[in-house]
Amino acid sequence: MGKILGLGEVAHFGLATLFFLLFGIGALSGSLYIGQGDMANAANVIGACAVIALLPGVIFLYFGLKLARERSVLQDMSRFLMEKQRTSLDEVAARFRWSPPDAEDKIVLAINEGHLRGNFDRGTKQFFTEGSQQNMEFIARCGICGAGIGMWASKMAPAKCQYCGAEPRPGFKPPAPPPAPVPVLILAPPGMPVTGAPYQYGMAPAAQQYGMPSYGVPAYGVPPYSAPPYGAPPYGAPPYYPPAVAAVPPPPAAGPVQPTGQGSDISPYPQEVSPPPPQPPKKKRTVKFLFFSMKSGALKTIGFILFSIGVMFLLAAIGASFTFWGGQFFMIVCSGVLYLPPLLIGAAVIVRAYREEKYKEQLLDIVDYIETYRRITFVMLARKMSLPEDRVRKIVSDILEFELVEGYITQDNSEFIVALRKEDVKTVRSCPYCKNPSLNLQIIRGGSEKCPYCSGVIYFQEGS
Amino acid sequence: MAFLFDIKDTTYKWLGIFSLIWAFIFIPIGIEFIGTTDKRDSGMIYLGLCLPLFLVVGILFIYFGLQAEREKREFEKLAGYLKAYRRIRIPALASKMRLSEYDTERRIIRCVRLGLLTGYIDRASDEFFNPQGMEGKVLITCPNCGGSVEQMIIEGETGKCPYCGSLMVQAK
Repeated sequence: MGKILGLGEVAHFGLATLFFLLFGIGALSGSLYIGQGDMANAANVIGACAVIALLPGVIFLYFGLKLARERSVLQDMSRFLMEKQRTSLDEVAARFRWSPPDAEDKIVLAINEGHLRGNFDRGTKQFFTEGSQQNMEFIARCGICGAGIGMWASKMAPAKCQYCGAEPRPGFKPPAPPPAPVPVLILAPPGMPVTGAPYQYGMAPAAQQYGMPSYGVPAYGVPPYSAPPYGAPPYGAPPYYPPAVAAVPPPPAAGPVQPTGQGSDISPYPQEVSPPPPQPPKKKRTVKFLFFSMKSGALKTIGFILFSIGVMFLLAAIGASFTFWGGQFFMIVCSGVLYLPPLLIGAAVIVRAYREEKYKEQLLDIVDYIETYRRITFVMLARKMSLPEDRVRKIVSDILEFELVEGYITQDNSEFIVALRKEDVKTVRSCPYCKNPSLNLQIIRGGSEKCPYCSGVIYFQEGS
Repeated sequence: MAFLFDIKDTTYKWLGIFSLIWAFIFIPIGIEFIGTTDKRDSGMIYLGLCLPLFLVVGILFIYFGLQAEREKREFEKLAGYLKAYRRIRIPALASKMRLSEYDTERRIIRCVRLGLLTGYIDRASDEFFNPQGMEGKVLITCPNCGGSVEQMIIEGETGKCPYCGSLMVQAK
């Protein structure tokens, strides 16, 4: 219950303040009674205020503080992960004194809360932030000792082989940090009204950006350069050097950087431009299905009305049996005519409505299974839904009738396949593992199929 | 549907809080009235109405709200895992969520229906993957030991040979 009432921490603090103010006002009112010597009323008022105002205030303050602390921890962890770019869960766990599963949970929470963006690496059990791939490279082997180190390292920082302790990339030179800007004189551009000083100070990038020889010193002002004459542009600066944003060269377009590590070429297939991934089907509900959906609701309503009428007659009959002579007899007669039929029919209709509701839920569950699996056998569906296969087939035929899913049942009547784009299905004729050429497996994009001969999992691959 | 799921816990809790506030207002008044001689009947009515109507209903609403919140958090956590991993085997996810595989899969299906995530389940590898996890490179043989490896490696991920344990990435 970290977040009561779905409010943020600021709202919690606000409500706590409000309740404390309320308590303060109440306590003041109570103290007026003390002044009059009416201690009983004073105690009543202050006690009531403590229950009505102080207690909720303390609760809101507690949860507000708890939320603030949780957020602060998540932000700290997110900053740490963004600085590291790629970190193992063990490192996060050690840094924040959590267990690795807890660290993983916190990372997921930080992603959900929007503090962090990135993904997990299943192979190395590391977390990497979004965009960090451009700054990292994979080093498969140490270039010095030849050991298979299989590590990710920053392109900007030296790495260390865990076996020989040397830099595993021979000839690696960390790129020089960008030169620090130096103060220069900036002249007012022609046409600009000069109202005060004839020139102004600004910051210019270092000399080598303009093709000048770099001596590791500022562009001018120290030997071997001297200050330019008055009115002349500073050395290394373009003739027109407008202030602020125009002086900053536009950043280079960020394109994907090819990793230069010694990662192995693992794909035996030629590279192709893959079509965009298929979008999940939009949930569509036909008029027929809407009527079907409303059926259970309508039945429930009718059932409750009938049942209520029955209950009213029953109560009337019970009342009658106590009020006038012959009431007992009247009640017995009525039981068969007035209240029993509506009670029984109403109960039966309600039961039927709940069955319909359950059927609808099962139908929607099967729709979701089909859409998520895209290709699923009836046996598998029956097992997952804990239903007999015949019932599953009946539900699937209803799904097709309501047009909830576009697809078809295979010729051997064993599985259901959703309608897919042509480019999202590949037919595999030969197994890449056992080389058996007599396969005829259809694989859907992103998915895989098992070779019936060697049980090797064959994934969908562009160009195969 | 997702919106209703999203506000379910908050709605229950607000209704519970409102009921409890009324209970906290009326119950002391009822007790006060019972203490007096002339308003004893009114006090009994106050208590008789407030206890079941506001106190019990309020506690029930808060209980349902907490249940709904727990369920919502669980679904969000599951969706977060699936988004962060992009492609994950359901048994691995089940162990992370401390649930059975069957329950995990049911929850995944529910998350998809609620619109918390989009993705598919691959029946052969028993993996759930989102559209990002769809485009990867397939590792057929380990370049280190030559063993046959069946893995799909997504961008940024590292593949691991189950035989020699060497790590490898997808080539661009």
